[in-house]
Amino acid sequence: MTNVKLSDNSPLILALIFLAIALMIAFVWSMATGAVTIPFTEVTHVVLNKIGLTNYYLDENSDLVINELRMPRAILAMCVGAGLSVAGASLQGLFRNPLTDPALIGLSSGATLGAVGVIVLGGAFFHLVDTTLREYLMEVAAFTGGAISTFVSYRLATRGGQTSVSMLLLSGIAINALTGAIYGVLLFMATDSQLRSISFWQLGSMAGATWENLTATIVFLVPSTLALLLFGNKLNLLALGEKEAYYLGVNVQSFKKYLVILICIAVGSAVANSGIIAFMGLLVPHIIRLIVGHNYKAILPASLLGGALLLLVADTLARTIISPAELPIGIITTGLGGPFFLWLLLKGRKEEQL
Amino acid sequence: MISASQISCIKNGREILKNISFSVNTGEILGIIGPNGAGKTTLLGAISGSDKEFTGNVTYNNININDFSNKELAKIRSVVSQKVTFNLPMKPIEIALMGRHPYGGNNTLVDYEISQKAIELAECGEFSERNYLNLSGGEQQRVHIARSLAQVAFEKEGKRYLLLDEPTSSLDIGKAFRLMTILKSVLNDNLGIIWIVHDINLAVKFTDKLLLLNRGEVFGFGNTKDIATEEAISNLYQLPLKLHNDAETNTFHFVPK
Repeated sequence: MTNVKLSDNSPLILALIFLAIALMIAFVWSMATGAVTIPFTEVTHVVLNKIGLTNYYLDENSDLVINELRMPRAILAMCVGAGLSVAGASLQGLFRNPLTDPALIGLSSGATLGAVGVIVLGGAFFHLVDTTLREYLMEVAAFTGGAISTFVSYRLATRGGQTSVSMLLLSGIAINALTGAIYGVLLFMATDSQLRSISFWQLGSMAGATWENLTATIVFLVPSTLALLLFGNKLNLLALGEKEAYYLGVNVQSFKKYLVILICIAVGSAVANSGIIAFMGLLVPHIIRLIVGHNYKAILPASLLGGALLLLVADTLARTIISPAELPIGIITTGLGGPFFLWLLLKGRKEEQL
Repeated sequence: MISASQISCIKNGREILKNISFSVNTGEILGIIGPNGAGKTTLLGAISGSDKEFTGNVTYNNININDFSNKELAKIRSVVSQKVTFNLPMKPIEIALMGRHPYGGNNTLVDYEISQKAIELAECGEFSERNYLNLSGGEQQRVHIARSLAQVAFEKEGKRYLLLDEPTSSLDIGKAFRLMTILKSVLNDNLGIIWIVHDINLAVKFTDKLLLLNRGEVFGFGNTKDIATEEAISNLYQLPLKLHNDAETNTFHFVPK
């Protein structure tokens, strides 16, 4: 009997260890690469100093580049990647469909609308509000926008406890169109400098990362992502259907409510920090499923590390490929995610699981 | 004892259940039979707690169903639904383990042992490590029966109940008989079974008590021997039936005249 248990968990533990090591390597690589190349030893010195373990003498330049530019940016990329991936996996569990993504059901566009609304109208209404508070305001607005659009598409698609996937995708299209229209109005009203910051949202970027605005990430994104990890067991039960989950003792309504709120906070916060980064929520959980299987207890923690890894690598590539210019990170994730989504559709059509 | 008193249910202006009262003890199998649309599944929804739109009282072991938390209720009754759509490629043993969720969901050694027993009992042993999605309809059905058995059938203390909504509907006659024989064998002083059944002959063979349901009303309730008369069953299904007693096997069965 003990063997059953061990053989069940060991692929997950191996995958987690592998991902954690890969993430550490990617982090050091990310610190070292860029317009100025910094040797690995120097990087480890800066990182160890930062944690407070050592007190090496540092080259002032590399200290500045790593500490003020690369490190907050890498941390933001890891947090956003982890948050979007875990939220995506949870959303797929909630809708009982592996093709659900925050962008497809309108969550991301609702959140973007909230954030853009703050950029454009924020000046008029909140001119007294200082910049740190504005960060929080954008998080809250992005959360609210995301929550409203998720709620609407969920209600449209759910009848009698069953969520219809085709209705969900259709209502996602409708919501994306509607938010697109309001977004257009906001663009029309925006000033030139606001337009510049808005274009930042469209493709997503980590370039805005500073230690100051990371605090907003740590307040919203990190706790909601970690809290989602607790729901693996119940997501498995939900895969049996809402009624069956109830028969097994799950309080389905409140569980769904908490799940949606946490997902909206995570995605809203990610969007407020870095704009729309499409397909992360789809891409990462699917690659993870290929490795650790379909148990949500394994998918969620592995997606956390996998998402952090993927976005950190993507962001480092984004700022180095055509250096000194920068490639919008959305191009990299959609470039990977789009074909992958097509492949999933073709595979699903073959297995007739859709 | 599960006891239901004066259960009525109105949905969309239509009275689906009218004043239904019955009870079932542990150690008994109660069969619920009736024509299509008689309200059998709605009644099971009310008894299991999943459907709250009814008036009347349901008690488990003399405690009102509304006084249980979801988790407490899940420890004393499990439900096998007519059809479960589950599309994750998991192993049957993992699905049976889900039945242990009310007891903490930590997959302890005890949980594994009980799930393994349930898998063996429901005759899922030979495919317990295969992909659920590649199993036949009948095999998938048995996996969910194993899950329900893991949920309530192996606890040492407390009276527990298994509610089954036509578990034999997708099984051939051999599998259906095997299943009911198995369920009869797990029946004990601490376990009772409510079973919605379409096949009157299976019901006569395996139930201790029968509840006849017609258009949302009780058409008869009592010991199977007393209730399953030629006249009552013919009236229930609006079809003249003859009750045969096969002397060799001592089995009763109904045949259309």
